[in-house]
Amino acid sequence: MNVLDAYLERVYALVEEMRERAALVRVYQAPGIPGTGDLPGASDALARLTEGLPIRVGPGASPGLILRSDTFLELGSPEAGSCSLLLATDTTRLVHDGRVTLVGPEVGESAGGSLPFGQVLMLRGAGLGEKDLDELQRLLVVAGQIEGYMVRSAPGNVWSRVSQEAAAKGFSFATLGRALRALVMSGSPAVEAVEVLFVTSGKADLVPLEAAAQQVRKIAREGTRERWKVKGYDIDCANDCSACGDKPVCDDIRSVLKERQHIDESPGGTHAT
Amino acid sequence: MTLPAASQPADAYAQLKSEFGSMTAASFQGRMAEYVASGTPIVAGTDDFFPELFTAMEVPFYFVVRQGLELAFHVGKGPEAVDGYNELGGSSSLCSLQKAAAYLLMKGRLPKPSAIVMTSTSCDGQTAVNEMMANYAPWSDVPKMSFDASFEKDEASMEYLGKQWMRFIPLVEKATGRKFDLDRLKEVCEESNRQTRLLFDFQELRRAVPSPVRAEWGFLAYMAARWSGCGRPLATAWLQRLFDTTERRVRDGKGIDGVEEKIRYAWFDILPCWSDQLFPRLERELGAVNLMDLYGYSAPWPVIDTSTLETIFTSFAKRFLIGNPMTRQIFALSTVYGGDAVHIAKNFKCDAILMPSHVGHKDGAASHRVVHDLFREIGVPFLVVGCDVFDERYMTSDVVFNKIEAFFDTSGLRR
Repeated sequence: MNVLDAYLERVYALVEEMRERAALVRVYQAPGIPGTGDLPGASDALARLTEGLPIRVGPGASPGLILRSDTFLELGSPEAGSCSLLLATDTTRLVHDGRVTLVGPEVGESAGGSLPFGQVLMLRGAGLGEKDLDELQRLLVVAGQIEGYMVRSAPGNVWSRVSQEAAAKGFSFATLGRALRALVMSGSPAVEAVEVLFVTSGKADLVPLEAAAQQVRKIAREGTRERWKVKGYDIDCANDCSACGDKPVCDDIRSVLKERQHIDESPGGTHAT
Repeated sequence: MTLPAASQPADAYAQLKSEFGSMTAASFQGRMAEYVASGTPIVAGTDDFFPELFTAMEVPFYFVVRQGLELAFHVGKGPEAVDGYNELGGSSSLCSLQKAAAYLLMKGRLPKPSAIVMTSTSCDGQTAVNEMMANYAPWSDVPKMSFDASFEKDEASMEYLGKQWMRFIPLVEKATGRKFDLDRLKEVCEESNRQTRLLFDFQELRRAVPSPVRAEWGFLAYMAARWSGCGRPLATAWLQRLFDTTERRVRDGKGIDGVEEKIRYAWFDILPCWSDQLFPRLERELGAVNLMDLYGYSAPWPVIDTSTLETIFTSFAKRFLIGNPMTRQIFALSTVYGGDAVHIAKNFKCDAILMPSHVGHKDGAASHRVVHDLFREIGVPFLVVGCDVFDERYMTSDVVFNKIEAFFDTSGLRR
């Protein structure tokens, strides 16, 4: 049992809750594409995984900048709300490879708009778990790898733009889900299955996702710390005074300064003169 | 105002620079001598925690370390201040900017404030200056509040800091005689939200190939939004013009005037006070363009939620802990610092990353091995310079140039 499995189950439960609240839920399935293990190289894997998409995916697919005036739809701006969650497990039953679930409006239904955006990527692979999240997250730095799609933000959330040109070509959340799946699977041979959830229905629907994301970030941090420790690095610094070996020295200095201030402020002290 | 395309860039940017100068001169910082002369109550702080509050209350505010820039390095007296500090027997490992601020304090050259606000930050030198301010005898009658920022970045940590900071309002009212008005603060915060949105929109334009403007514009935009004109419509209009002018340049595919862009790199720290000795030469001789620096870029600034006083101050805490670039990257795990660097390298299509490794930035220096490993993973060359971004005497701009030139050569980037 992976520590993140509870959060995968929580995500599925949240989708069911949204469905019961009559939110529009659409489920897409990527064409039956097996894992990439039998493919000779990452670029071939990428080509196979993106076959039939209306846009290009991979290095150099996009200049990386979509101007406001060329934007068809903005997702996850600070005003609209954003939440991003990455989960990894080795439990087979929990990740349905190629499935893309959308809760809320589609790209084509939102011309010129700005939608809240929740993005959950659920990955499966042998031995995958919380220790791998930080490394896997770097595969999701889209930069210029998806034509007509620009992610604006730094790690932690997703604030993105879909270009007018891409929308005209038929860019949808099914496209985006497949593109992200392709980038992750071609970037890491350890990933055997990818399922994606997008939420564009409303800011309120992001709240429970964000609560889960905050917990996962804490778990991921511990995983990252452990992973780097194996490499010989201590990536944290103990800013907490109680954890510092020099605390007695600082305490002494503070008491001397306090005493000094008391002397300075007393009649005849430095300050009084 | 729409300028004719042909005459747009040079004219528009010269005008923007001139307006920036006027805006700075009219800011709290620019009028500090006038406030001192007239006896106007001033508040001092050890970082730009919530400039919106001071704009709303019209209480002149200065950020102590910035005094080191304005009263020392920007007027050619940085070395004198650093040497003066050393003669006072201070720690040699302190950042030169903090040395200058400490020297100005000890020599009585900082305006005596009516109240002081301090908060734990990423900068160890700043913490040392906090202690000096708290114990500086001539200021012993100045009311001070010192707050604790959490290393964690969750919602509870933001509320924890925001609630502490709210306690500073009655102190400011008492110390300055100015009345706090929540509605006015909300107005200023809404203006600040517009500014930080424009700031981020502008910074992102520099993803374009070729880069439309020099990196210094990133820092000027930051100063306009956070230091000189925070919450003031004049600065918002300036940022809008800067954005519009630069967006036109991107649309026209124009790079920096007179520069053939061959190498794109990020200077992953504060722009040096001696930038004019280094960056134009790198552009001219190597076609190397700096896309980014510490304050010229940041993660998207959290929006200030103006619903209540509590939400406003929680938002201020978010801005300080995950918006302010230095706190965001250094007051966190090394992998946050490295993660931001990777994002910048990928999103801005950097051919290389230069880590100036400013002598005062010890926390950042401790992360270099981690960042080095991350860059090896993504295949982007990485150089640690080891200079002092304030005091050029530590390593001259010529030596820095030579190091960078050799690095570009050995990395096969020079073409």
